[in-house]
Amino acid sequence: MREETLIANLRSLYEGAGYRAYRMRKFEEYSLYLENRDFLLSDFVITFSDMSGRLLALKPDVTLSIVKGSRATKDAGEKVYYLENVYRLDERTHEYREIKQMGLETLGDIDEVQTLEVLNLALKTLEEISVRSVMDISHMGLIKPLLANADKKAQREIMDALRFKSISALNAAMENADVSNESKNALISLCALPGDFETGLCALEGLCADAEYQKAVSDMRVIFEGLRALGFEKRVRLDFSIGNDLSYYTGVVFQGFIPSAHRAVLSGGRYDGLSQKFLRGIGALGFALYLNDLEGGMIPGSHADALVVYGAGADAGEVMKKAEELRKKGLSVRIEKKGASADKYSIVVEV
Amino acid sequence: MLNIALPKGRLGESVLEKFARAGYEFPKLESGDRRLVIPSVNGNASFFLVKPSDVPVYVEYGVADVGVAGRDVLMESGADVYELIDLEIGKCRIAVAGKKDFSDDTDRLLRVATKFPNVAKRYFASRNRDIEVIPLHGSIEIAPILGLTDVIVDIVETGKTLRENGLDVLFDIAEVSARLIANKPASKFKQDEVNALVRALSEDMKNA
Repeated sequence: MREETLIANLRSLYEGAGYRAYRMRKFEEYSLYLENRDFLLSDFVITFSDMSGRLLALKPDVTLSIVKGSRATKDAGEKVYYLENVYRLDERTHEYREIKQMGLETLGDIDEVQTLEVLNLALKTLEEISVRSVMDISHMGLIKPLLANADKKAQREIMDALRFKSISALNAAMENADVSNESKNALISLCALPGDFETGLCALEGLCADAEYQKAVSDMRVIFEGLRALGFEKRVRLDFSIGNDLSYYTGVVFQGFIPSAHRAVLSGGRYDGLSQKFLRGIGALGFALYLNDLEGGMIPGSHADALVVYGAGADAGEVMKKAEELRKKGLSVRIEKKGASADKYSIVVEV
Repeated sequence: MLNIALPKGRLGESVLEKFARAGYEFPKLESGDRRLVIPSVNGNASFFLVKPSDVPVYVEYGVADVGVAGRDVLMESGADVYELIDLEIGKCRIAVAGKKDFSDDTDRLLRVATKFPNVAKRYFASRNRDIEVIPLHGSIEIAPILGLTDVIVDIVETGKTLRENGLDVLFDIAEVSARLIANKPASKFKQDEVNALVRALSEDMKNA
């Protein structure tokens, strides 16, 4: 599917859910990022002075600007979507990258219905790209209580070990940390959890008696039941390697994956810490889709969005008809004999 | 079929033996065989033999679904991959070493020679010590002997090379061994195949 078609489809998806388009100013004052650096992925921002001597910045982030400008109240929440470029330093190559993001934010009194709606939109966003997409979901309320007494350094090391799913690194990080034996066992279980949502939920319940933890378990159960009612139960997985930023995320966290991209293409979660810095008592939840990371999967040189495979003796007319049906949906379709590698295709249909 | 990136060299040989015992056998190659991508004997995997420090790159970018890399290489690269099993081979440690009579003059920058600049910077930053990293690619031990640097950050197996050169381990940074790593999306979309490999390798380790 072409990027333009995807963007148009997502616009109608978000507008159909009552989200209004948000357009950012080209530049922000640098002080916004300086004062809220805890909420940014990186301290590095491209800055310059304008003619009046104000220090301006090329935006490294969209969410901060939306929250700062929001007038959301508990009674009148705000729902916006955006398509913007942000400028971030790639810590590996030490070069700035221009990243094209499309995403949405909802600010207000966020309850389980609002949460489910955002997760539903995130899953539908992924579905627009690939019917084989999957989404990992975690909840900071399941991790924070286990680390309540650990110092910042130990917290960082433990979160890194969870991110790599490394039991040995987790054991090393917990060795001298102020973490109870119950919490240590719980963290090891979270790290080793196999991913299946329903089985995972049962395993989570008995791990820790803390009230905040148990509230998070029940939130996750409500989320899963809601997603099951929407038919997404096979597409979501429990995974505690995502959203390892304790200072940013405050509740549910999620990341979306498609087969043709080498890392997560969608990322989001609940971030009340940031929203409450600007708006008293207001919760916030949103996600962003990284359009740059789709390029490899959308129109890769030798591949297409979908693969139609046919076996010996297949009806040639049927094969063509199936391919044409998919093409009418805006997908590029390649036809191959059975046995061709299907790894890089979002959709595989056998005739 | 799984795409597996394995390190060339000494570590690679023991890794290949381990994979063969787990049912992922690398074929015997003819002496002029220059192929870089080699299918396993029973066709369940495709192997790439690459420079050890490049394994995390192949895995992070999804060209390989899984791979084997030393903890030292992973710490240095910072690759965003899953670290699934400690294979418990290639065991050693990464450490700060210097002359036996070394004493740190905190009045000036500490000069550190290393193949692991990121590991060295992170370690000394955690001790609030400013350093100047001098990147070297081999025979690191010679740097403090000739006065190029004050200390080195390097892999230490037995410590014999250090002792023979009048050097000693000053601080340990981390224990190192080979790890099975996996690309994040691949471990979701090829979950059954990745799990089968993890099970087979874990089983082999239990029997060892």
